[in-house]
Amino acid sequence: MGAGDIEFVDAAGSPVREVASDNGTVKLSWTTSEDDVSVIVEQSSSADFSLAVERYRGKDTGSVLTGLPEGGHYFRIAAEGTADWSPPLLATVTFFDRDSLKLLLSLGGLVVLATIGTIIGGHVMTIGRPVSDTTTTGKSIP
Amino acid sequence: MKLLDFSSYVAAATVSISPTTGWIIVGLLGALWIALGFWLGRKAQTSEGFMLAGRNVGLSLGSATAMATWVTSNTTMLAPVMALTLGVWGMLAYSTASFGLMLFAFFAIRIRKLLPQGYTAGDFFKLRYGRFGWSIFLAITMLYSLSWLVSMAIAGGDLMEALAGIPYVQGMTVILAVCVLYTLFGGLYAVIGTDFIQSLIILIGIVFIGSLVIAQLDFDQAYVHISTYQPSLLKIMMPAALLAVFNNMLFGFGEVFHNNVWWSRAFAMREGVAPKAFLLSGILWFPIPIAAGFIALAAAPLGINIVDENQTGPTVAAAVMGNAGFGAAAGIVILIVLFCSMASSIDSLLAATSDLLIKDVHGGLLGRKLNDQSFRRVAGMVILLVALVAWLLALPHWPIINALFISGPLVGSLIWPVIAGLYWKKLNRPLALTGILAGCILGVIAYFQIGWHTASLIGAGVSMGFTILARFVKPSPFGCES
Repeated sequence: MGAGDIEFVDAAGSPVREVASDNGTVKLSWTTSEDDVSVIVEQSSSADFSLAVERYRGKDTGSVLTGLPEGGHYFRIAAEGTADWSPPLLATVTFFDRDSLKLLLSLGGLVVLATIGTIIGGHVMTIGRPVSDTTTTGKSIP
Repeated sequence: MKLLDFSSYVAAATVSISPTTGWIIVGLLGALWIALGFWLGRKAQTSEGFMLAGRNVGLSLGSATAMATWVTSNTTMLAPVMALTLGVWGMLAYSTASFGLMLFAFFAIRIRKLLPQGYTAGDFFKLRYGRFGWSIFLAITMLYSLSWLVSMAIAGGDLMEALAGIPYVQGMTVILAVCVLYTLFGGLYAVIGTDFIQSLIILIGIVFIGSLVIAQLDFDQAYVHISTYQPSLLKIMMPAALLAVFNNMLFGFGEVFHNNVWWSRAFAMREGVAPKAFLLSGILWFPIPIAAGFIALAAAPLGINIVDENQTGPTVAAAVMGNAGFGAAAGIVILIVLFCSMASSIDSLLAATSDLLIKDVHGGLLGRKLNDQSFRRVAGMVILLVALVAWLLALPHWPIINALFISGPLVGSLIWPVIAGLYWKKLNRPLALTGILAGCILGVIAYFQIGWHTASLIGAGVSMGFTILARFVKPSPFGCES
């Protein structure tokens, strides 16, 4: 089986050479021209795969790789027992912009603390306070 | 360089059961729930009995029903996905949804004081925010509840097709029909009673699978593997994961604080029971997503290949059970646990949504009064109607789960108006209601423009700003406080 027979594809089944991720997760899918083909997927930080590591070996037609650090990651695939590697796929991981992150985290902390604080404060302020409410008469709310 | 040995797991990960076995399990579970619902429902003679279990639910049943309802198929299916993709923070992010239950313990005290004879969350919104505010609440909660209900039905159909080869429509119809039947027979009595047993089964299943993972995992090697090949999963400053913590927490607050599923339980529990029950259920629920997430984090170190991240939980569970010699039982255990987690949510949603429609739409909007005899007939029709709408929406297998996620900023926008309505004496109501609408709009924009992990945060934050402003800018008394 040649390199042209196994390749990475996107969700629509079209060949793909580059993907982007904002959380370090890359979903690899591939097609083979024959059923039941065992493949090897390698990963490297360089396009020449000089320091490649094997990330998958088996007969599945995809693999979800998570926890990748920021930067470029190259992947290639071949049928087991051959050296006919597919063209490389470049996955670029770029995390959320740091300044926006700080802003949103500050907002998150503020909203959560204010929410919890207001509930506890409200509870303390009202726990012993009587309620004069028409609903206490037992009538359901119209 | 050979990194992992997949050989022992590849076959195990594809474990499934035959359609016959699948139908037998679903049939037995369905018969059990329906029989229980029929038996438990003997006491549901009045409208109060049917809707609120006679306002006499004790601590053990109260805690179990709150916990089981909150364990949905999202907990067992999505928590592993969050751990797999966002790491330790993702696992904790999902668990923060339990804080909503814990904080609702405070609400339960106040709710019972303000509305001792209340039936639904709609009662509160109408009392505090008038007809317009109540309409906004009704629109948001119906969108949220229906998308939750439909997504559970779809997940049920998917599960039975994936595990047992049962066609999607048949599986989805059966799980919905079983829940409809026992809710129809027994009302909240049946929902709470079955939830108790379902919660026990879910807990036993997760602990069993978690124990198998622990037994098979070499923790030192797992740490080395993750820190070498998945370093971002252990990263303290992982942006998407950190934002997910706040976002999920606020999504959970919004879901619990506004939805009638929880308000009806606060009304249903005996005096003084609800605060303890909600606190206990939150504490009991907290470790469940961590356990489910831990199973997912173990996938790569155990050499389990994940092809579809949405199937992470069942894939890892099937693999570790297969490897431990439970190959034939793997599909059965997974089907039982997931069936219970879905049923425990579907029944609660059917009951709570129907209550809302009966009390708020039939009684409130249309002004119809019901005696106990006609109530059961109308309640039955409404439950069937809700189920039929859910079935019709689930039939085309649309990705309704996206509607549920998009509802995050909508329910997040209701957090502060609920707090203000419960605890504050006065408020500029038009301003607070404007805040709900602004929070919904900006939150949905954030969902599409920035990412799902910011939507609830933006919705809640915007609504909070408006509500705080409404306390100080021309506030008028609610008219209910002494």
